[in-house]
Amino acid sequence: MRLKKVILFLSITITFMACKKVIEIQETDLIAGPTALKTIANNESAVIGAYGGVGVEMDILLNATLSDEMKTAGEFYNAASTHEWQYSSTDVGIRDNFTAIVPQYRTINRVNLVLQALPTAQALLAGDEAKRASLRGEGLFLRAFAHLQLFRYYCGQYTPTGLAMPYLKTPSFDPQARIPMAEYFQNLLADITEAKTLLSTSLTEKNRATVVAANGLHARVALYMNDWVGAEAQSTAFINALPLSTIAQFPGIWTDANTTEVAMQIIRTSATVRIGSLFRGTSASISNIGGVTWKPSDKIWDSYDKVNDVRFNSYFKDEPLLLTANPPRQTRLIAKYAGTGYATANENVNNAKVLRTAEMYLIRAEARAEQNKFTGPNSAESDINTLRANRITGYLPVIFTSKTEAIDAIMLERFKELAYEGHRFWDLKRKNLPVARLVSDAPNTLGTTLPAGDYRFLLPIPLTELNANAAMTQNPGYN
Amino acid sequence: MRKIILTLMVALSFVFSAMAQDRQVTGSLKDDKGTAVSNASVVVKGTQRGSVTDENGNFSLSVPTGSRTLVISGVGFTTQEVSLGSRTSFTIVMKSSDLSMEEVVVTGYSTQKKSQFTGAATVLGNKIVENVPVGSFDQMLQGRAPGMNVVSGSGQPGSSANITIRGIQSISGAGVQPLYVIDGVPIPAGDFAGFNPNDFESITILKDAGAAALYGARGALGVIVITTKKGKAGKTNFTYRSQYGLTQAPSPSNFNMMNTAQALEYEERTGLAGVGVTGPGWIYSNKNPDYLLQTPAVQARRDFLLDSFRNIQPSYYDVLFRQGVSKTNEINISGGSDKTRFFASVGLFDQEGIDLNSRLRRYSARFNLDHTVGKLSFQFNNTAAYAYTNLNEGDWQGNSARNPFQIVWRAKPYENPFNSQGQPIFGSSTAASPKAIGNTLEGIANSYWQDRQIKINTGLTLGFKLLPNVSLKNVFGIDVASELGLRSINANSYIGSLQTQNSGFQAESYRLRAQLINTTSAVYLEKFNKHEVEVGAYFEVVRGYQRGLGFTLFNLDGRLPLTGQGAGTIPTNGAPTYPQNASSAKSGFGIRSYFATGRYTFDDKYSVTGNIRRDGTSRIANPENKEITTFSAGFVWNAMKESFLLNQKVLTDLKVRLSYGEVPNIGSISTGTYGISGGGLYGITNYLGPQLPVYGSSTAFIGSSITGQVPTTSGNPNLRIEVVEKTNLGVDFGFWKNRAKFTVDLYKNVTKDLFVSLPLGSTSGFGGVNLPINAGTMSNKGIELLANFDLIKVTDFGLSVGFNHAINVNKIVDLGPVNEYPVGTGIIRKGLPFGSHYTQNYLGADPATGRPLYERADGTTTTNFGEAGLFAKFGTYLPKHVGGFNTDVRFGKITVSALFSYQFDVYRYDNVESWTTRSTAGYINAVNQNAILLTDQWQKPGDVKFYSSPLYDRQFTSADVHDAKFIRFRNLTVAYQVPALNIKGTQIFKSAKFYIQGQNLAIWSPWRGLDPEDNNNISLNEFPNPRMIVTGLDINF
Repeated sequence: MRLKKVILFLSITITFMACKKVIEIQETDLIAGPTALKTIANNESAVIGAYGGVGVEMDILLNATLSDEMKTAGEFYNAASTHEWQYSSTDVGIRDNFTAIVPQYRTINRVNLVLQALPTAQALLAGDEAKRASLRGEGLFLRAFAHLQLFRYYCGQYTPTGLAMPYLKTPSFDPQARIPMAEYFQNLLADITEAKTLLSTSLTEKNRATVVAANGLHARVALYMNDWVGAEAQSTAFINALPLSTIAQFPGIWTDANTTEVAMQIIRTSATVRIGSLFRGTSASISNIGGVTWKPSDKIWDSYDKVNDVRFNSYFKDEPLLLTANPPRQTRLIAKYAGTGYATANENVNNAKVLRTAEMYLIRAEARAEQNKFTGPNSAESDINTLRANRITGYLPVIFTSKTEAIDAIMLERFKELAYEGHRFWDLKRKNLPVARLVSDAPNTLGTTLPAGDYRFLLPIPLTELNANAAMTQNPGYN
Repeated sequence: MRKIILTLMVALSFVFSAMAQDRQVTGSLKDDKGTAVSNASVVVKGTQRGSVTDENGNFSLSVPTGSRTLVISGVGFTTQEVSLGSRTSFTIVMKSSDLSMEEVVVTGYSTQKKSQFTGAATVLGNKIVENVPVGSFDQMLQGRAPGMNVVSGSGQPGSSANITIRGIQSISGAGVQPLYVIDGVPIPAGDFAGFNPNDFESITILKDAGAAALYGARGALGVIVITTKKGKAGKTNFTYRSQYGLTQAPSPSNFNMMNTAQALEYEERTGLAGVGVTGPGWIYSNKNPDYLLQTPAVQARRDFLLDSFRNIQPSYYDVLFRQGVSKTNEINISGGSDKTRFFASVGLFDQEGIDLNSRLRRYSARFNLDHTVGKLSFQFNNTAAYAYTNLNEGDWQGNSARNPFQIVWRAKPYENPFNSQGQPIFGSSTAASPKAIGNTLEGIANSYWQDRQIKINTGLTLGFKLLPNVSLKNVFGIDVASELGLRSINANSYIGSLQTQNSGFQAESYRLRAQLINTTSAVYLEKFNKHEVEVGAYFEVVRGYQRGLGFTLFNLDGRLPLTGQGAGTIPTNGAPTYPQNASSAKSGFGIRSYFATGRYTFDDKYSVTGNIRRDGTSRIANPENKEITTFSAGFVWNAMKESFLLNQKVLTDLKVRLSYGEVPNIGSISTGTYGISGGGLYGITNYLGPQLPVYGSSTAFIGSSITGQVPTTSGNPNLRIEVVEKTNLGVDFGFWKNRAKFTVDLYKNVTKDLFVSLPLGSTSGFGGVNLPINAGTMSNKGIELLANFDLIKVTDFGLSVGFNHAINVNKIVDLGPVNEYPVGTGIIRKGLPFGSHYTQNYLGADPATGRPLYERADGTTTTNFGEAGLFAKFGTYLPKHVGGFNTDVRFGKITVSALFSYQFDVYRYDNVESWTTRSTAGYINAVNQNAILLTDQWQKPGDVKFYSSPLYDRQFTSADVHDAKFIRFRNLTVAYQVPALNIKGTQIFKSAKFYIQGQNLAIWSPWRGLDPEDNNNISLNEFPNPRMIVTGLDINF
């Protein structure tokens, strides 16, 4: 009897004790950790998510605001601290508009998570093994692209021992220190080089990375490193794959009618970003055109042959409708990303052009000039003449008589060709040139010139970042 | 109901055979102080015949011839045998046993003698919850136990209180509630609407490390241990309880809103000041410049309209709130033999709240059974209840004009809510034709919010005495809540026409929560000479499950209200996809604990206790950090056993207790919630979400047909569990046969590894996102005092008073790598207490300009809000002082008990007053203003006033932080003990009690508003605690 009770007691107890894994219960209803990147298809989704973080709008606004590309239209101006180079590490204008460090590393982290998961991701569909390789290529491309952007925002001219940024190759919450430029670019080039072996060679898909795009990025990297041989070789590879658009094709690029000479673009819709709204708000009606924040500088406006240069009418508009407003408004508009008509659904909506052939001509011209190939066949001169012939009706070729003349012409051509594409301010920094605004363009005397080599050519590392990352170093001048 | 009782009766009749009448004996039981002992059992030795004493301690019993002895036992008294002899009348004095209610502490795992208990606990009897007309028993604990802050967030019948024991112990887990355990089975906080507190026998509050160490990670915030009633051997006891009463809205006496005349005058005055007023007081005013431009006919019309408004003076309180009816009916039966005892009850609780539509109906049943055979014993405790709650759907809307607790003060006072037929006037509401009250009433009449909960709490305890000094025990418990919620808006109504698809709204959701617990233990207890050793080994597993689902429907058929039937199709408006309107989620967690307890007692004079345990939980994601080992130790000195205190009569109790230990805090581990469709009524706890790197879909990239996914949260791979180090020093002392009794406790709780929010660096990919890291320290230091005095104790008169007070000082000692960070309207700052308000300091109106004046960070003043400094000098919303006092008076058969509760050194944001005193165009046109503006607002240069000119917004600032201290007349009970009723020799009932009870009878507070009491930092749209007055009758057959 007693034994029976003991057995009964113990059996009941043991039944309830048999819950071994009770402290290992997992969360089953959310996509987290390894579940998120389980299959190749999941990884492709995550790569698409990483592309979603890529944008050129901040680059466009920064290079235009801080350089001589545009001026206030007098209708709305709250960018004094940035436009007049008065920013510190806590500047609200920089914080709100140009905190590049957060979105760029966010993209890098998205990519690094994929690169970490890809080798063991399950291949469930036919073609998944090929995709495993191409996704790695795209990941490496995006990682290199974002790191170059960080360099352009926060770092000075290239010297091997100069201070670059942390180069993140794996996801990490640990404090990260800035590394020397030589090491930084070694990582960048390794990523691009491997990417080129994995990416698609076709150019049918221009929304995602390809070998041609990787060549373009490589050319840009080489340019920033003053690696003239490399820059010439990479830009040549790009140009050979994708020729320059003609005068007839050119306006269509900016209305998104065609994508000639564009190797990589970011599709924009009214639901994502209206690039044109960086300069002018959307309109309530045809007679009530949106508020103009920025207008073209007189310097750039007057630099074109307004009759024969196809770029002028593709990039700008002298809008007579603005004169009918009461009181009359100024009429010069930046129209490069004006989208469809005033007060229509896609006003100010245009795709972002990330890499295109004209930039490659300009890179190659500069690389050749720097190698003293400023005149003759396959020289800076031939590249500039080819580019201009495809932009200016009735263009007569020029002859460069010196390297300096060639470089000056190239810088002017970059100013005109790549206006509002996110290059100007960084070109001036790269070439150790000042920002020299015309008096008529400057908001005030202080805002006329940023001397060459001024510390403000490098953006400050935000104070919040310095607080959160103990290993981070501030740029000179901001302490 | 009747059926249930009948079935029970039939079942019981099998257990108890009819009794033959031989010899009638009667008697009365008294304790050593002369007080009648009720509910004691009187059994004829060797038989199953017995009786239970009534409220006056009397019993009567038939004794078979040949019986010689009565066995008399009662809770808290030593069982004694009385020789029958030939006497037929007895007066028996019961001796207090060591284990009287007053002398033991029920920890939930064991029952310990107070003389050997090293921890800090407050033991509350069932009297404090008996017959209190409140749906959730935790509300009744306010003002009862020192160190326990009980505040109610809502007057909705059945809503739970918010309880903090000895201060907030965590930043991330600030609002987490203590652990509730009923007969060894945990119940989730907030799930009390399904429990009948009349079934409770005792409530014990465990506050220190030694006590809570038994509960490990679950017990860091204190434990509230409840035991329910057991049957007693002897005659079956049958009790019927009935109660009827009313709930009433508290009076808005110090809430000074403008009446019609004041509002119209103020609109005119503010319009003249240049504010764009749209109300009739300005737009129809003859001082309005526009008036002079009109034709005489239009001017006359305006005069007429303004005069019409002037004559509308309704009372919105009477329209929006009601006097609710509250009633209860209950039957309980208890009894048993010396081997088997039972307690069974069924009850109905039905209470209407003051808010139209608010009501709780609870149908509850309990069955407790104890059985002992030889060395094996078991206890089976069960309760099952169906709680049906109706709420006002307008309350669900929160900050909305549909919420009666907002519109009652917000609506302009010159609105006529009813037409000549007495129907609400509803439709589009404008300043010149306000329909705010009418719309709220139309909304209340056509909307529904219901919650149906089935609650089951059941536990089986098996005990086996393996050896004389070794006991085995296993407790298995199940707690289940099955909830069905609904929000519905009638399609055939004005409010229904405003819904998506313009034809009503129906949302329903279902949630099932279950928690299983199993505790297995072996306890060795040995006494030799003056030494006593007790060692226990325990193994415990807790497993929780949740699952929920829900849906939302639109485009309903107005002929079919309150159902999903008849819903029409949903147009996609050309979109290729339509979002899902239904979803579900599931989750679960587990806790595994091994622990050992030990006690050594010498001569009942000194006791040393210790505890060591290892807790593991699935709620920490990192496998390295899942398990934690903690310990506690305690010492008690029972000085009354010392020889030097034996020869005196004044001091009758002196114990000194000391305890120290570590308690992990599972409650502070952040959790997320899986939202489920169905009107946002329920969520399913996402236990690990905040620790995991979670992905979400992203459509930011248009250049692919594939939907992107991106990491949305960083995850937190290094999280460890917080640990609270608790030290307690307590002294209990009593004088004059303990007629004056005191308990004083000093404590210090230090939370280590406190979760602190640290912003991540950009290179993590989550720049600026806050990650909780284990880096901080928080302390709570306090003193608690409990005093009870039996001032007068004579045969027909008694007077006793009790008092409890606690002071708690919270301090954030360390935040690791950061010094401070703002959270909501407050700040977490090193050196300050948790809950500190953080805002701009408003100094009044600038006498010259009427602009608002603020303090700059450097102490100078400014009228520019942007230049105002932020300060943390406005107190905290957690009271430093909390307490209560009570008195019991007995005149013959009448007893009067009163309870007052209070708190002070507490400050809260009054968002209502912010809205009603801001008076700029946005506020004055949408919200009725406070009458204080008529006298204390700047109008012209030179005015020294508090409120700035209506041309300038003074913003949400320190002007809105107000003192929320209060003293509340919490409870008054007047009871009359009706003697036994015999008609022609037949006893109709043994005893009865008639009583009148009032809850929340009055409140004294500087707070301007309906109710200063709340569970958070800010007041807006709150359901105040109602006043309740009930009468009741308990009859014991």
